[in-house]
Amino acid sequence: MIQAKNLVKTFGETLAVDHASFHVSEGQIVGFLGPNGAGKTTTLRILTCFMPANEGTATVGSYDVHDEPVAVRRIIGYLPENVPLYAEMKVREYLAYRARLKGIRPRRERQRRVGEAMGRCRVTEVERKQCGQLSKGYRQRVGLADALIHDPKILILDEPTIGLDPNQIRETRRIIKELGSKHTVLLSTHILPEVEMICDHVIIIHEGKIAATGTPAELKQKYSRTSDILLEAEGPQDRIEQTLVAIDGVTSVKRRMEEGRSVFRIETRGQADLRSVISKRLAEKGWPVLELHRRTATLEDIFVSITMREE
Amino acid sequence: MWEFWTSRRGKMVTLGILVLWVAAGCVAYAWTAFGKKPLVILADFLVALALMIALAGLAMRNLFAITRREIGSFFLSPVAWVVMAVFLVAFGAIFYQFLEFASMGPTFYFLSIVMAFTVPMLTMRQIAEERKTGTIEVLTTAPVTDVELVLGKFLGAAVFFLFILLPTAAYVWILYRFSSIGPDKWMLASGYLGTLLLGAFMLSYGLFLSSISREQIVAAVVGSMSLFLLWLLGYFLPMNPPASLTATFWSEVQAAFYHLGSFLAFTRHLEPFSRGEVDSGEIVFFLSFAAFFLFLAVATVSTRKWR
Repeated sequence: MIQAKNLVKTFGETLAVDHASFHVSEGQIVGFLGPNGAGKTTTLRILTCFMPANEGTATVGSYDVHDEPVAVRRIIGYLPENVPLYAEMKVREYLAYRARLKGIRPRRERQRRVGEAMGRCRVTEVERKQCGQLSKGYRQRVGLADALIHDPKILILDEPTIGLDPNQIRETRRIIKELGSKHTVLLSTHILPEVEMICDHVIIIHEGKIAATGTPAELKQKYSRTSDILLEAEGPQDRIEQTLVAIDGVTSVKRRMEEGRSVFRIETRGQADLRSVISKRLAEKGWPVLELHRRTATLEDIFVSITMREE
Repeated sequence: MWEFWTSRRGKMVTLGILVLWVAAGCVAYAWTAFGKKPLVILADFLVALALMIALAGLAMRNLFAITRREIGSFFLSPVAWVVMAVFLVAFGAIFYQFLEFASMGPTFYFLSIVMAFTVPMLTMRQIAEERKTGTIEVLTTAPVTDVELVLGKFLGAAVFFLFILLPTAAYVWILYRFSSIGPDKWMLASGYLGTLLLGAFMLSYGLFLSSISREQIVAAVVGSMSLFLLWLLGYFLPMNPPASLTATFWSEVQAAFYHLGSFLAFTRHLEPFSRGEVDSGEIVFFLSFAAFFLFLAVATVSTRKWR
């Protein structure tokens, strides 16, 4: 659905996007991750035909962003980063104007769509307010209503949940997930749990380059080199520690107190799951295991390891 | 930007506009050549303009959506109302000054200096503000062509300009009601025609300045100052080229500068209108400059390489 090949964008001396290539398949919800200033917004702006790339090509739907920008804009719904709105226009009026620009005719259909989008994004209660007086959360939702008013095939959302309160974030996520069943969604964010919750696919961009792509599970598989096991057991703690160190595959064992209980943090090499071995050994000695938990790398760990590696 | 104009429908519409334009030009020329009936020319001009706008609207479906929003934002903008007040007060003052002539010819001539200061204030925010608040991003990522965007904004400003001009009809009424001989109606018609043409020229110039400025105040100041200088040029430049008995290199240069200056000084092109003469060459002058600046504005919007 979206195909980018070797996109390059420079602003004077700085290289904002550096030969970025990626693709988004139809019906996917794709998370576009990266630290601030990594080139997320610039890439999205190239895809929405707001800015031309210096090099490379991108197609959205089956249209080239350079050759057929109007056709591209017709099939996308775009929510820019800071949700610019006309301050003097009222919410309903603004959405009706946007619907008209996006070619929704006749007037009755336009009104129906506006009502529907306002209901979906929960902005009906502010329909008579001027956009300039809206709170950040409402602005964001008016922007989202605008993005999906013409029922576009592709939604491009630049940090859709920034500035929202927890309830609104959940609500927005629900809307995005719901949209994902019928539409292709590309959303940029740096809130990682969000990505794990809603995205089928992840693209990590760092310093303008695509650093990693794949499903969250694939990325975890690929980039997590070690895993941790947390253990709480009854018995002589020193001897437990000695036993643990002796197990093959264990690289280090740390003991620390957590709420008055002593907990072992066992680091292991590779992906091997040592939980069964550990519980067997302790059982052999007659020390009951109270808790045994394997912690695999989260997307956050992967994100940090990818974006910090080069420094 | 060329997507529409290279399509079949686009070519048909272009052809239609051209035919209409030529036809309107011929009619205007015929009237100036034979009858000197500015009222008819004004009517003809307005009809041709309305037809062209209607055709353009058919061709560019988003044009009127943008125009409507522009008009709406003018009516909600305090600056626009201040501009209207200043314009009307100045118009009244000038009208009063020349009341003894029982004619509005001189009024239209001196109105151009008022316009030099007020019109750029109408257009200053049109694109600069969109850029500053970032709304240009949502606007240009909607399925809108750059031509639609610029023309839509231009039309919006033009409609508001007409709205500002509307109350001046009261002065026309005053002349008819209180002047014993009655005003020269041809002079009135040609004066309004000239004002409309000058307005189109200034609005497109202001729109272009707004498209290249980051700050709207810069667009307004640069616009007003440059138009004011051109006005002064028209005021102080002698009516006849510098005479010299022998053609030396220096006198040729002087003559060249004189001709350039009198070409650029828009009051020279406005003057015939305020005398009740309609010259198709002057119509072409204003319209081609308006088209030129609109084209530049479209080009500026298309090459959006700002951060």
